[in-house]
Amino acid sequence: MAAPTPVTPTAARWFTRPLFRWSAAIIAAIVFGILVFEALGISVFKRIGMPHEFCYLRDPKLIWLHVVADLLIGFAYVSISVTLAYLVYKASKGIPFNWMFLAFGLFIVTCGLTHFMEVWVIWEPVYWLSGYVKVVTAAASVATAIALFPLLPKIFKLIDAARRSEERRLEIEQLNQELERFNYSVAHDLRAPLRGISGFSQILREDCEKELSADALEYLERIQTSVAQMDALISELLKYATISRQKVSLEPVLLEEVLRVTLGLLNAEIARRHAEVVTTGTLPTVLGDATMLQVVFQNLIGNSIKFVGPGVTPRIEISSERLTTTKVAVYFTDNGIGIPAEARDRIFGLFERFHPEHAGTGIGLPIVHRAVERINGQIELVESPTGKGARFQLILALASPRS
Amino acid sequence: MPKHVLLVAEDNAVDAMLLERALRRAGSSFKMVRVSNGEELIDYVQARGPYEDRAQHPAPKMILLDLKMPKKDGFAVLRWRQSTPAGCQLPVIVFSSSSLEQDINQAYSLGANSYVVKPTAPERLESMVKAMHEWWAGFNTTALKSA
Repeated sequence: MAAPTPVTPTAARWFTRPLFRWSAAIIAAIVFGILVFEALGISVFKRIGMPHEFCYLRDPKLIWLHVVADLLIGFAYVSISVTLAYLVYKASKGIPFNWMFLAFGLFIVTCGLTHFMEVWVIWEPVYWLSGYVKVVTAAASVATAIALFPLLPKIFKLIDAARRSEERRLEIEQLNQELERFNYSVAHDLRAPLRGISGFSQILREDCEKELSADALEYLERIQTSVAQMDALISELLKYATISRQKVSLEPVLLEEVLRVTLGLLNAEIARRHAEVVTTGTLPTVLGDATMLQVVFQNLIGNSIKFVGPGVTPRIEISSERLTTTKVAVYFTDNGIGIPAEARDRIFGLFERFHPEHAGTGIGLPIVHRAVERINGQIELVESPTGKGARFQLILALASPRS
Repeated sequence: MPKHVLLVAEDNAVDAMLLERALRRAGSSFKMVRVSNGEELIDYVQARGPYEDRAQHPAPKMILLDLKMPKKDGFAVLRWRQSTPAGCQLPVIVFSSSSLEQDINQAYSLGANSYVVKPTAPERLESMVKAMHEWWAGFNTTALKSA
């Protein structure tokens, strides 16, 4: 780190504030005006007698009424313009036409000044000065008034845009609600007919087995297979929807732990296929969501176990490689049947299937893709080092970026 | 000994038929009584309206509750049950198509004793019914009649 800067940053910032700059400009304009008129021999501070002797009738009540009212108006004007300037300073990027706000602020501040002059001239006959202040006020007022006109269509456009964005927000909200209802319906209603088909074909098989031909029994078996497929499709589709809508919180997640839990869940499948899951090196701790990462690991490893050639023992290797100080790549490499290179662009699309001879819903990889998206990661199919099998590269943010 | 009544709230006739058959095949000692919505279920439990005669409509030992039903749905039934002391003592198994997290969590929050996602495969339904019978009629002890 460099040594602390000698100038205090607050002082430097204060100096650049628009409020300061505009105030300085106003004061400079007034002083400049006074000097010019004095130089021309028109005395600004020339006394012309008893100030306001006639108009206020030397009545203390009337005088104080004007003094208090003028002071209040003056302070209010100054306060308003200070607030405006502060607003513009704080949100200069968020507010459109901020110069317009500043012009407006200047107009208000000069209006305030004219009221202070009114108070002053009760005791001191500085009518010339008061007049010049009015000239500055007039200039600021006229400038603001003129500048406001061409701005009108833009302001209307802005209002229109705001209204449209509100409409869009409502539309999205409505769409979300509809999606929620759709999900609910899928979860509650779509499976009921399946239970009927499956249940009654089973009953048919049990109760009429003797009367049915071998072909008929096989057809009933096929019905069951189709029902199971549809059931899996519905389950996966629901999972996909859930992944999309579930809240995620990005926090440090130990990938070693995610892998441990995944292997536990896939235990039966791994044992059945005698699959081998190996890791090279220690998996890193990443910034992600444990549930989402769980989904990614389970689907990728599950696919590697499922999509293998006949007689092949599935082998999955998981390794990681630091890409930058903040990013890490995790590789899932298997010895399965792989994915045709020309399908690379489509693998994460819904219902895309590349191995019809293998049971699959075509939703597994879209689920993986969505889960990775949710934790701001990237995933792609990369060239396998052996040229066989599939290799996925998962890029994630490291939890504690260190060099 | 009279069979215990398993009160099933199910609006889907096919589901009810399959469940009854599965219970019969499992040799369950439960007598299944079906109502087709939450309102009827509450009437039955309270012995009101058409279910006034307890000799004909004996008090249920357990409830199997579908969630999505016309009139009063499963959640409404669970809410009603929580508000009555006798209802709270009656075991309720939610039996629904839904595996949605919010449905499962809400059911438990409202005091469900168990949640079972309706199995699609007939073998699964049969083994579920067997296990349910073994657990709830065998190992489990329900609240004793206080009134």
